[in-house]
Amino acid sequence: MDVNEAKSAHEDELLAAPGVVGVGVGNEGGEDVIFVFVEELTPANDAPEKLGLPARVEDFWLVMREIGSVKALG
Amino acid sequence: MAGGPGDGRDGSQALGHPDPRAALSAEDVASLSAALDSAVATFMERDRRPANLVGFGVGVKRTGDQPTGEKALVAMVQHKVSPDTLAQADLLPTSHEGVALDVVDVGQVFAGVGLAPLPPAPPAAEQPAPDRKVAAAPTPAGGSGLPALLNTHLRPAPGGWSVGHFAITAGTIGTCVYDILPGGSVHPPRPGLGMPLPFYILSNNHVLAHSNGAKIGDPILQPGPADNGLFPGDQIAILSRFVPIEFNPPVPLNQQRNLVDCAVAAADLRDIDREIFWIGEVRGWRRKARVLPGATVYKTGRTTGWTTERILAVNVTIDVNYPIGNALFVARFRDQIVTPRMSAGGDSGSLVLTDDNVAVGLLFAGSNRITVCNQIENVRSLLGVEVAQRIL
Repeated sequence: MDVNEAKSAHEDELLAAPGVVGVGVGNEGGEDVIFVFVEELTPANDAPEKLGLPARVEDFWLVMREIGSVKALG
Repeated sequence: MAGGPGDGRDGSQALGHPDPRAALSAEDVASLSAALDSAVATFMERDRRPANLVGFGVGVKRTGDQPTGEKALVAMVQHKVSPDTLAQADLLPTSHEGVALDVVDVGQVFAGVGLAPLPPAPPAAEQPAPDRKVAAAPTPAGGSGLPALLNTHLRPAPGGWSVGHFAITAGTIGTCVYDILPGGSVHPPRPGLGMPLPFYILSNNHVLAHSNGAKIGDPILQPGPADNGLFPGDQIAILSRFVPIEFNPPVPLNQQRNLVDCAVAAADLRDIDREIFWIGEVRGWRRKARVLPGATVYKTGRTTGWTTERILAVNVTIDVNYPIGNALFVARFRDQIVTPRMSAGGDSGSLVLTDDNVAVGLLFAGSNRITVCNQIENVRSLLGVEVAQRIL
């Protein structure tokens, strides 16, 4: 299972976690990872375990990322 | 981050929605799930499906365009037609298992059709009187403090310059495009050959089509209204087609299938220029499977000009806020490209290219931290347009 398949297979459960506004596929230090996007990183959500998520899905690390409030830019 | 979607993922209640009659809580949505499953089983079955029906969701019943506050099953049809023109088998009931059943025209998610506004029609979306400023035009959001650079009237107008439907503020001309030529295809992607006429400006639905609220044939202004674009002197194009965006409300986020925020407007060839300011000509476009994290990309946009970043993530599913009129709608997009921030309000519609001028994305959303782009392959497939002949 590649990282895109892993992300797609687990997307619904990731998006259902509190405060999660997006998920995506990235690469950190040469390793494929799954980003979990939140508007603001706080001590309450800076690790997947704090949201009730596993540290890894399939073989891929979940990496928390702060992305702010996303809106259309018209 | 007040007012963001962080704490109210699948209802708009926690979004500070200004009209509670248009909002559903997560509990409301959950309470409708049995009725929804039943409705889908009853009406969506292949041999009994009423003509036109494309989907079902839960939402708020509307009368006219006004939300009533009553939770409802929402039947999504491609074209809403009067009941007396429909065969008996195609009629939908007004309720199902004790829950109100509302019919919403969602249009068709392909090129050439889809006129129905999903959100309530914005106020004052009337044809502008000649030579009168049509929008009070608050400065587009973004708060970058950067000067608006590419906000003048220019013919021919290159990619990167200000543009907009008469009822919006301002966005950006991505580049100029044409219909996929005869012999070309989408699956598998292949260019055609022949005579392109007409030629179009490519930008976002929310720039050229007012977030589903515009009519085909509406005037498109260059520069956009926020940059003092006036009708008719600054009209550059007319809206040709757009891919409708599914919004919550009324469509729950987990039932949305948004891939793109894009539209095209036809223009006279002498008034447009496929070159992009500070970037040049588009050499070709890239299939989405080859758009990868780490790639260097750039864009030129109306507000921040030329900017460059590296792709942070692909295959992104993300919830995007759309302030429309006085209400806030949320749309969940799949298959997106995310970069660190390389844009601000008014840059919507910018074409995003690799540093060797291969188109990869269409910029449409962002925050103070990131920028979000559609895959150009999805734009090509759903809108049926070509940004360049070569697949690179």
